[in-house]
Amino acid sequence: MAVNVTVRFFAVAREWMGTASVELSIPDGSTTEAVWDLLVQREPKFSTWRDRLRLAVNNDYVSAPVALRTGDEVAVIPPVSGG
Amino acid sequence: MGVQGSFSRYARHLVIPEIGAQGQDRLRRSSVVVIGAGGLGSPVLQYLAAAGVGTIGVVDDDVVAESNLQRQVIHRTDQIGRPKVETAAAYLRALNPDVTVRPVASRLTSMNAVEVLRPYDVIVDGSDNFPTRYLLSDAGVLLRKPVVYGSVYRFEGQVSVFDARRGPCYRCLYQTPPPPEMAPDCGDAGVLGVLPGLVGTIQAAETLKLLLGVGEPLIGRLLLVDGLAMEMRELRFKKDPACPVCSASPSITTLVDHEAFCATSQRQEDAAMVREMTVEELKERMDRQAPPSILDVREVDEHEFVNIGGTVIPVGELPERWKELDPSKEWVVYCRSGVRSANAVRFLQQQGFNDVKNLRGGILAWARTIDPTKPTY
Repeated sequence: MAVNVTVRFFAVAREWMGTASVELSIPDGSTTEAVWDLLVQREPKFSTWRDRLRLAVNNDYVSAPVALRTGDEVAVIPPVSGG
Repeated sequence: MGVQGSFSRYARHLVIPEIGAQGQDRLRRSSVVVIGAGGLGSPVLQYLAAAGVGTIGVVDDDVVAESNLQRQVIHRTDQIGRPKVETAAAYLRALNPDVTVRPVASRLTSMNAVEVLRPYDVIVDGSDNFPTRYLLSDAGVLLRKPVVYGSVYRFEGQVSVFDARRGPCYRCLYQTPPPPEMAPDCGDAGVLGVLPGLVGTIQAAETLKLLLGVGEPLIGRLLLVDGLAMEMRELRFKKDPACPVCSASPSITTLVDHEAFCATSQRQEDAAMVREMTVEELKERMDRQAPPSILDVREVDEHEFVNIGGTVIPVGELPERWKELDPSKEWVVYCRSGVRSANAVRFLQQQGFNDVKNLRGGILAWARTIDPTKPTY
């Protein structure tokens, strides 16, 4: 069984992906680590800047890997500095 | 009550039970310092002065440029070239003579931050760069003052309130500043003019709430403003138990200038990976009729506005179009300030271009030192 999640991209991450969101299918029992792995495959910049980006799952920022269930929304939020 | 000025000026505040004469007097006795009199600072300053905040500090070391006017609505066309703190102060004094405005025309650093920020009740972050944002968040923790944070990127904005006594700080979100190539400033990234207006007015509202002690401040909540979808979402975040500044056992206990060590390490990294040519060297090569091939990686509109010749391939199109360029030639790549072109140089090196250099400082450096008739933006 697979887990289907929506990943939303903000700021420069949206530019890298060229889209505001993607639907990802990850194996049952996966955590946010599986999302990172798929993102890195699609865009190597996610690997380079991984420790500078933050993830939020269902609008809560997460630090450690979090188990995901179908319907969860993962947001990728880079820091922004413009004023 | 001690409300100065005419009763009618604040009439719409005085009739609100949560404000009233007492709240209005509280605003008059309050002080706020706004760092940056730019896109965010403009609406923050305007609304705080209009609301009758008694003392407002404005910190900015920049002068008004034409390219500011698309979003920095506190400045005018006839004020181009004047210090921003002066033109902002003139605007605020004309708007509300009850307000004492204190302009500070210097850049905030770890050396002057405590002295500049200490006299104020609330700090508003309307800066446009990461080093200042980290400095302000750290200073807020050390001085035990709330920092009303806002930032913008293209069609997006972020707003939050950092108050380490009651919640997390900026470093609980992002522990260290990102490197420059991940984080272009507004000049390089672009921003819809009204976006800082949306974000700045929310910052002004949060500031007034803090001063009045009403409502729920955005502590531990980051408001994400998406101007394209016109959606706002609230992301919750917690104090990081390992935060280097606001945790129980902090590793950073004095203010640091991130610019100093970030820029240095970045420069060393760049020097190792990206070779540079100065504008003086390029001019000299042109003068002796032996110029390198020149590549402009800015957008076509930017090239048409001002250029020093060369082939135009926007940096975003380079992965598809680099084969239009001859890798055996000597190349010099430029953009506005040198950030995008450094990325382009790295990319071209990976594709086998052996002789490719970054024009240090970009066309801004050219306009500054070689040809002042070139317009800047």
